[in-house]
Amino acid sequence: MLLQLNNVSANYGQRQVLSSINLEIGRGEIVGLIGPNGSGKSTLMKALVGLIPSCGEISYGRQPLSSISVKQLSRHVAYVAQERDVAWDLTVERVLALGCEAVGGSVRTPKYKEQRKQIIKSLSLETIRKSSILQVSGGEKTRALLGRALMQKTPLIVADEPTAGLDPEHQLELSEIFQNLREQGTSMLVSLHDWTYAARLCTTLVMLKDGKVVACGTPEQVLTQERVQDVYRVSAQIVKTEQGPIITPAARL
Amino acid sequence: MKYTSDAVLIWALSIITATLFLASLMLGAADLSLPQLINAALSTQDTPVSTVLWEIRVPRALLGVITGATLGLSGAVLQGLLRNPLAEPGLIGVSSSASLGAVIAIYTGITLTMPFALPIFALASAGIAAALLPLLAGGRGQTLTLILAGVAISSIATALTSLALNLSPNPFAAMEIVFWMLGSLNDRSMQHLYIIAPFIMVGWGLLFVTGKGLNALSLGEETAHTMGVSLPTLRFCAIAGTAASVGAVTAVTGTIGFIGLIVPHLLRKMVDDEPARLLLPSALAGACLLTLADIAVKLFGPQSNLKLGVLTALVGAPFFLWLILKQRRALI
Repeated sequence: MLLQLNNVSANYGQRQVLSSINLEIGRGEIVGLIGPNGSGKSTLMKALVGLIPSCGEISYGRQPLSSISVKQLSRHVAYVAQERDVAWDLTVERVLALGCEAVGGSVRTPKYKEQRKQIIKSLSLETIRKSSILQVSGGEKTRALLGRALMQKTPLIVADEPTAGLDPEHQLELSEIFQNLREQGTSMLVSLHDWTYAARLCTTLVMLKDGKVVACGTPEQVLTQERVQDVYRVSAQIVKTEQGPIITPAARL
Repeated sequence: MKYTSDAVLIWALSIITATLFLASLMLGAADLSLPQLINAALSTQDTPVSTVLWEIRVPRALLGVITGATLGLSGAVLQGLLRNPLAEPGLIGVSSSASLGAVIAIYTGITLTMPFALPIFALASAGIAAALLPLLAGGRGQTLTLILAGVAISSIATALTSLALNLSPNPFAAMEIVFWMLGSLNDRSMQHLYIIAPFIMVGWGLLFVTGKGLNALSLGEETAHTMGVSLPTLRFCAIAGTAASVGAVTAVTGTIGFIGLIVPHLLRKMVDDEPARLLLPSALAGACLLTLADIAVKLFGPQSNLKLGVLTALVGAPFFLWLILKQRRALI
């Protein structure tokens, strides 16, 4: 197992935001976190990369998170935050280089150059590689920051709403990138709001409500009419197709 | 390519600093020619020229370089740490606290019996401010609380300094306080440099190790954490480094503003906005700018009684205004 969460809870002050979460992520899995706003998706992601304190056991491999230094953690997991806030006028290429440098790599080696070339190509960043990260579009910035995470070459990538701000073409492109990474043995934990996208991308879905896991399993097992109604308080229309289900919200309850 | 341009920038700034340092040694109440300077430097005998050189010119020029480098370097580090181009060493309250310590030393008259009480009081006061800062900012020391804590410490120190001025026992003490606060490199000796040297070395050491962490911090605090940067360690190095070095130079020179704010601005585009690559050039450019300002003070002559801190503020403020207008034009 790459990541194991055993009975993990977290509080913001007096308010409990995560309650008894159990989760396992193995090699080559794409795990999707779904749930309404405030259900604890981002908090869970932050807890498992040590950004917020939590109770219970979080372990990478067999090593508990509490015994892993931040330096070591950067080799276990790369994280793409929800806030795409860059302070300085860095080029896209330089942002990618920061990912490599984070894990002790040198941007002057041929290995790095090859890796960067591949990531730039797979994320369609060729035309903006020399552009300022502050002047590219929201979607381009998302892809550049994801590229930075990929440069860390970690076995697990945690991405908080990676599709936010992406147009349909780039959403599908991202899906292909995730699938390719999965085939290479990289695992991903992503939070998503689009049920259809989540059902088609993820091998496992975890549905959260009020900081608790209400369902965990294959997309078909998790995304049922009843559960969507119960968790999201909307009715959903589910159409099964060869490419996977199309799940759209129909009406508020 | 960028490594070549960095090397060119660093070499150019080093050569300018060395030239200005030499010019600063030559200029003074009695100008010295280069041969005179070399003879005095190599002479084993005590001549009037060698006395002037070693007792007056060298400490002043060295202090100018060290102070400028400290202000430039700490400005670049704090702007990187707080992810804010308006950050400067004064923001964390260390400069005003060092000033308060110095003012207390003058106010109580202890400087009359112990000549080096002033820098020691100033250093102690800067140390207290640096220790208070993380306590006020809270355990996780978020950027905003860090800035607010700095502003609070700075305000308290300024208020107490004003109180000392207000209650000053005699006009001469008040005058001494005011003149000291305006900042100057005049009449400083090698002893002053010896007192602050350990603090400067520790401070610079802590500031220079922040580079890689500041680069990662460009992408946000959360991302930096997952890129292997220990934020508490980074904050400690930046704050303690600034407190030690800026506290030390302020303890000897008084308050000298704008260098720490302007220098990183001047150089940022030359290093492609990268915080780590900004550190050494900022230190060198700070040294250049402050030595240049001190040369200007010397050229105005002792009769003008112009203080270095006043000159840097007079030149720095309009320059900063120009930078803002330039940035505004770029945004339109």
